[in-house]
Amino acid sequence: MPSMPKSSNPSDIESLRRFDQHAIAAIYDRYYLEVYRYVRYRVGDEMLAEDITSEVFIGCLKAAQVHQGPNKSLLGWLIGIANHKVADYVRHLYRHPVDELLESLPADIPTLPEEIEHRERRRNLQWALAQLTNDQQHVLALLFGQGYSLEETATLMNKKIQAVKALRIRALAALQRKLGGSK
Amino acid sequence: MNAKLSNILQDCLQAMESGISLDECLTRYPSLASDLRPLLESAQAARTAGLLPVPGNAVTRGKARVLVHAARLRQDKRRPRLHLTGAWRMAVASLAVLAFLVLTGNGLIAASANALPGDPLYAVKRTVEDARLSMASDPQAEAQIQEEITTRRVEETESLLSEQRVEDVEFEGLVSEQLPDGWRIAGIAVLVTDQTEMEGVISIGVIAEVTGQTQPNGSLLAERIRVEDQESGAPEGGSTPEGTATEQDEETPASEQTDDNSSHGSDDGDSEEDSSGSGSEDATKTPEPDGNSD
Repeated sequence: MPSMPKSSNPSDIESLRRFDQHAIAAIYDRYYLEVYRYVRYRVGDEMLAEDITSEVFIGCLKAAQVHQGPNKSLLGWLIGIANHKVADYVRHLYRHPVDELLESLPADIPTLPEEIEHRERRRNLQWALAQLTNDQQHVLALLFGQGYSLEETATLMNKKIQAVKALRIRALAALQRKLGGSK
Repeated sequence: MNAKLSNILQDCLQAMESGISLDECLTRYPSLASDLRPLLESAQAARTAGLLPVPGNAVTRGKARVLVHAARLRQDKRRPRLHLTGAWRMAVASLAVLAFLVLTGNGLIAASANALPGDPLYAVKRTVEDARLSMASDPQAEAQIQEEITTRRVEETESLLSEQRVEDVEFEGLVSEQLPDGWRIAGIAVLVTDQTEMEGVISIGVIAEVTGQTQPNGSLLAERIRVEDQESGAPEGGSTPEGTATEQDEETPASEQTDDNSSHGSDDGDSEEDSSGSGSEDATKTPEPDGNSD
């Protein structure tokens, strides 16, 4: 089970503020996959996830420019920015609905019956996840997408463990309803 | 009840992670089985949503874009520009555009859109760009316009090269490859001679500003290549960690597009930039491409 990298090196944050090319490239390499996986879980689409992930790193540079930044964990901060970027994207989608989340799933046409079924299940699942509240999606992405522990998730969400547990139950129940409803 | 269910759910999830089946979990808590089953089923579903392959080259694709932004922000930090705020900014920009329209007419502006360096209308094109920049409503919009302009400088250079014209050009981009006689910058092969003035330490993965001349044989001769120092007064011959550089990055930052959908962010920050390449005074002369330090 993947676990969250522990607190980041304070010099990472310093080099972010200096916009040091090599250090930024190293930070990008180190955290890219973690952030990408989170975003991909939330939006489903591969290309969109890549795009939003780049935006997360750019957002992080811009925040560093105005002397905002993480107190402890750089990854926690990046995931927080990612959560906001995804929420922004979803809000935009509501204003300009194009059913992108569903239509943008891989274009290759499956031929085998089990492939078609698998694809259909994935589609349903992505649709059902997208129907949940932002917090519910966030908690599922952290616990089940990233595989973080309750404690790590609580730290990232700035909540108590009990609150995360309660949110998890609500999120899972809501997901079950949506999955049932979409069949 | 809810707290109890919550704790039992945690036990079951952990058990399932270690390989115990859903049904087996339920037999441990028969009285809660009907409540637990739907939760565990959706937990299984939630987990499968995370099991997606990561495209192999996903990491390198966005990197150029992020590094270009970093370079821009660093320049901005080094050379803060006189800020005209709010109404003043608007007023100055509107006046400039108004004067321009009165003097030239709108058709000229449209006609200038495809002008290349050396064309009669090229100055018009650059003035319109400056006006657009100064009218940008917020830092994000401004950053986007700046990105467009950066892309355009590279495209213009590519057009001149393919037309085999001789013109002075300037552009900036990611250094992606060392060539026998120069560097590939923003996807363009840049020829370095002992006449080329090198400012800063060039290496793969950094952003460089190129001033030079397109040659009739389709190559680009660099007059000056400028790399922002990592820090003011950084010692010469700084590190060039090839390992962290984007060697595979063949695509130029120019081909990157800002996705409007995702860029109206909650963060705000400034990313303004002087378009000129003048700035840091601590020029270091590095005669050959292998001035790339060890």
